[in-house]
Amino acid sequence: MRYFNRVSLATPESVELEFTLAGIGSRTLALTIDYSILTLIILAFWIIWFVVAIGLLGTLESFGRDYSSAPLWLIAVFILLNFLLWNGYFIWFETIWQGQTPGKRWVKIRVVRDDGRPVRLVQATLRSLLRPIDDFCFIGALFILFSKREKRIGDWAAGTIVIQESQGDQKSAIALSDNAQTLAAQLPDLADLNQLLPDDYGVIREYLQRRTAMTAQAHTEKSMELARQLRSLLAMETTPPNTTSDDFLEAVFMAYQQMGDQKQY
Amino acid sequence: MAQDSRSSPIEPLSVGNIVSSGFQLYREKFKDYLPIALAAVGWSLLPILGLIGLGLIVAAIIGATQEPTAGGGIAVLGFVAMIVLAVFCSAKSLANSALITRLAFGELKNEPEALTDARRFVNSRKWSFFAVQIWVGLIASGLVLGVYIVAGLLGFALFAAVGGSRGGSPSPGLMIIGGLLLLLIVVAAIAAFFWLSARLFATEVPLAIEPQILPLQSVKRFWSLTKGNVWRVFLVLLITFTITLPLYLVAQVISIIPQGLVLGLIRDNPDALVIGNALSTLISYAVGLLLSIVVLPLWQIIKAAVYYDLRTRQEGFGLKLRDR
Repeated sequence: MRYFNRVSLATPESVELEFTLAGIGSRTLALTIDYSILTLIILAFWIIWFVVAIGLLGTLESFGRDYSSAPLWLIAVFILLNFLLWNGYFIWFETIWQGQTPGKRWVKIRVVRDDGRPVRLVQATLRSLLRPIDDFCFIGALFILFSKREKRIGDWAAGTIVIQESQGDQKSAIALSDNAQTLAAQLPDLADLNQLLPDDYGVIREYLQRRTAMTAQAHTEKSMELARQLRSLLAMETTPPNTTSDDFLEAVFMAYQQMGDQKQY
Repeated sequence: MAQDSRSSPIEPLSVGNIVSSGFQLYREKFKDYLPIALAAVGWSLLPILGLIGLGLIVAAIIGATQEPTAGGGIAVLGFVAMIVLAVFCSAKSLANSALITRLAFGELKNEPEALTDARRFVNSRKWSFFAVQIWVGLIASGLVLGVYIVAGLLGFALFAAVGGSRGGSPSPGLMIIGGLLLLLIVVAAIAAFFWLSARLFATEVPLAIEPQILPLQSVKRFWSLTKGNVWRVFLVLLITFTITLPLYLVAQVISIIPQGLVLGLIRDNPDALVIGNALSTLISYAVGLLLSIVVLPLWQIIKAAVYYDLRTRQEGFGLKLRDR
């Protein structure tokens, strides 16, 4: 997709790494999730605190001494604990989950340092403490929208950027039919597989991975369309009898993989 | 700026990335889309101006002849003309909005279309866009009415059950349960409303993009594309709205300030107060209009991005072997 900002980072080991920046949408979504969780946590804390405080004050009263300053103390501790919870949530998670909070994990984004190394306590703390300033009048959102590396004030101070996690390995396995496996074995004799480019293979793999999520009609149409294109590409007059277009695509997918394996040895 | 090595995006987008690419495209094409948005909002404004003009004419006639019934004929005629004008103007306005979506869709699939071609395409379908709007209005009001009736009946049944017909106050436990159930009904009604807005969010987009499609087909197509993806579309709406929230807040502040000034400065002079109030109302309208001109392209782009993603996801849009 060409509508994402990308950055190249030079790591301390002089390795060039390319990252896609998280983008305003993912960051807002992650923050919305985090704030929802945090609100629930703090609400639960308030209820517990309220119950405990009432109980405590009642107990103190029964002692009969002068505890008139106790409510003030309770309020002071309450405010302090609120502050700790609010900041602790972000600091704790970003530190132990290497730059991720529950929201960021769900959205698949991550905070890293400017040189690509994972964030640590210092960076997480700076980002969290400056968060109120970024949230005030949505200043942080403006900074993210209009700065080249999508940094809010907290990111500038901590020297961090927020990137998208590279996907790819979590792709589901492709189910292959028996029919396709038989066909894959015959295919090198039937077709000129050398005509197939890595790009074509990529498209077929992408299709096979995503076909189950497609609507039934689109699945059929896409399958026929790709099979037809592929047949003319491989200079095949016809496909063997009793093979569906999906079988054929699966067979080409397997045959291409096997061809690659053979070339390696 | 974006510098990408890959040429064609074939993977479905995440919710966040739909919104991000929308904003990125908005930034890049702001200058191109702003005049179109201006035209769209301008067309929708025209009937209101016409109505004001009509009112002034009728008032002038009544004033000149000193007879309250004198303007009657002209008022009725003018009103009919206004309805025709309103239909035409909203069709033009909808076509201009759809133009932005069509252009944005072309950008997203890396096949940008010339403005004149795109304009010709959407203009030829302006009545269909109006028809889509009517269909959506009918569907939405029908479903909303249904939700209201069901919620109302449930609420009434609850009230009857908790209140009891024998008089006397119900037990507190029963009241709490009743209250919770009532809350549940309200939450369910709100959820139903959000569900509906997700499923009808971009019903005109198929009509703006695909060849040979009728208004109702366009609505059905978007409806079926959102099947199983309501949550995703809803999150896109939520996140986009959240990010644009500061704009709305700024607009709110700007339109409140003149009112405060008017009240503060010319409190003692009743005549000036009337003019001042009219002026501040005018300013808040102007701010509102300005805001809708600025925000319209963003929402139209988001519609294109949502449609693009749904088609990629549901139909494998963009999955094809390269020609050579």
